[in-house]
Amino acid sequence: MRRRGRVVAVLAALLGAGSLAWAIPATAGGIPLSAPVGSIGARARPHLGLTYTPPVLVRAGEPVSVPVDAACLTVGGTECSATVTVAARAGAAGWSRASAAAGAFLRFDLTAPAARALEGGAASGSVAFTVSARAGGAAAVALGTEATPLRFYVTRRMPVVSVPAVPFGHAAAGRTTLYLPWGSGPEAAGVAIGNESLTLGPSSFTVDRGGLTYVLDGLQQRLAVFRGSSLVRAVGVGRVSPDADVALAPMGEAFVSSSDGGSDQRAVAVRRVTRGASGIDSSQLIGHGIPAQLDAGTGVPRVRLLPEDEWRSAPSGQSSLTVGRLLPGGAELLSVVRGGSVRLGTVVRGSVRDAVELRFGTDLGELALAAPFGSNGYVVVVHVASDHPAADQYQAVVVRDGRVVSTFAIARADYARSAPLSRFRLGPDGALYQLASSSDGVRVVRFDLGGVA
Amino acid sequence: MKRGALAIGFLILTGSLTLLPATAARASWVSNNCYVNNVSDSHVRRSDAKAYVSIALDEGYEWGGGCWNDNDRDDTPGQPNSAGEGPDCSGLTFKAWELRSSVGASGFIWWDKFQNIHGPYSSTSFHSPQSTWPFFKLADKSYDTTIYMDAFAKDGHIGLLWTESQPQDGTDSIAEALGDAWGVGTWLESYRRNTDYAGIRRKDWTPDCWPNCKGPRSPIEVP
Repeated sequence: MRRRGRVVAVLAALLGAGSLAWAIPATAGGIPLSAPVGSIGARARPHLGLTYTPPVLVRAGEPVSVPVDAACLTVGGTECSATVTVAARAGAAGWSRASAAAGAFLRFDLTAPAARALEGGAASGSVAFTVSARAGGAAAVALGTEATPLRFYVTRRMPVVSVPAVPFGHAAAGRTTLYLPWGSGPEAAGVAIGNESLTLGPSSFTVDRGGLTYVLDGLQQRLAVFRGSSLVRAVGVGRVSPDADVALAPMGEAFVSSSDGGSDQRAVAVRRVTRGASGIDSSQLIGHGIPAQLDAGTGVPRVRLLPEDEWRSAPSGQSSLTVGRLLPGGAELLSVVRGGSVRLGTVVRGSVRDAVELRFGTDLGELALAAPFGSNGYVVVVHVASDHPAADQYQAVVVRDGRVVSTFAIARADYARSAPLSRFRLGPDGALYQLASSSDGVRVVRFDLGGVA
Repeated sequence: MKRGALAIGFLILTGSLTLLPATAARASWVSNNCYVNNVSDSHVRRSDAKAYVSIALDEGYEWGGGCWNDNDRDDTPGQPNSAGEGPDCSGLTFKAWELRSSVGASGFIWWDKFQNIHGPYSSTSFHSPQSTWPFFKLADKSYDTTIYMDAFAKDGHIGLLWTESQPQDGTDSIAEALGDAWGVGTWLESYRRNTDYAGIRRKDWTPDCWPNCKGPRSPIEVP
């Protein structure tokens, strides 16, 4: 360790005044600090990285433990000290706080604020909280503020529904609605073959009410719209990132989100694709961080950004943070996967409704899709796996009124990487769609959910 | 992939992988910018590895490469195989884990980011390590098992688990050399339940708390 420090010092001296080459941007955790990135003053500060595991939706009486991972790095890439503070407020009480030295494996216990959220006998409530870190040299980062906090919900009623397992290898076939061979040109999809790297293909897709399929074909820098496998139109979108996403608003406008790099300080912007013409609006900055999902179901594009792990829209930044995805009408869809369970709920005017915990017989991977489905229902697609023997697949589940209405397996088909949360879409027709790829090309595959929408 | 594995294997056999030569007829980015600088290391923590990788973020990608600066951009875009800037996925892991340049050797070596070394391991060898090598396959990939700076590796790609935190959607933040178009970065990935990938751990990390370890930290209560 000390030797490494000396090496860094020697090289820094060799570089002379080129200290910028060694500096790390002083924005972190998605919140730009006061000085702009690139200014010498800002870049000379330590880098603070801050992530946490959001509770999202907890049952009354459960312990609430929030893991926080805080890393403070000097401009030379070595560790530095910092302090992490978690503040919480619930019910009529004011903000309460606790602090600890930064590091990995920190856990903050928010059980007491969660209990206060239900004081007075309420059926459900919420806890506002913030996570922040501060190091020497005035470097600081905050996830949420007291004015626009992060939030999790507490409910007394969240029945458990056991989801039957689907044997591995018994995947539904689906029906291919679009096929594009790999290549270049109007009716092909761009691909970058990996070589000690990932193979990349279209990052996202969606479908509209008219039966059109939108494919975000980043390697050909276009949003291509197809009816069947015939190209209807293509709009140039320029260079978009491998986590670029596409979403449609209720009136049919298409929005594309993209980021400008691969660090945790990347700028994430959304652009509106002009319908029916070859054009794209200027971009709106959503914020800084790692983009997880784009949604435009309310007509306003919103992106869930990490590390806050909350949804936000442009240009108001944190003023519109929500932990759940906003639904038309103002409700908020809560969804979280932990261990072998998926928890779902709907927030209406601050109260949790229709909460349910889907319990699977195995640990789960990503929650690839979560959406309302009819009245009092949800549809989810989650990645399930077995270590022994090694096998994995996706499992779709429709749940309504506390029972599983239908469930089936879908084979993983990811020859080329697409964004992990852009592989499945719930179509306006109530069917499930998968963006699947194999060595010959990319497909959009439709699965009937049983007409229960 | 096969070409990559064969080429790396050839370089191992000829013992020339410790410093990839500049092969282009004209001066390459590597020949203009990179130099040899390394030192045996001890008490290497996961947090040190994370700090090291943080410098590589936003730099370029180079197949078989291992030299980069810290200007947060790819200095050789569109040139994934021309002695340009950046590591490939296995080269990034090799340098972040401070592995030695001979196959199977234990111990740690700190490699300057400006030293153009890839190391002897391809993603395939990370995915299927021999028992005597300085890393091993985890029994499973559950959240209870994995620790940040462990890797998820398959035949063709490897990425490093960037944080213990779990987003609400169950993905993982992975630090990885994604390819020439996007270089090195952190991306949300779904490798954890993808059975193409194995969980891989470097042996012999020094605990993060070193040198002031005081036992496990209790949860901090927020009143």
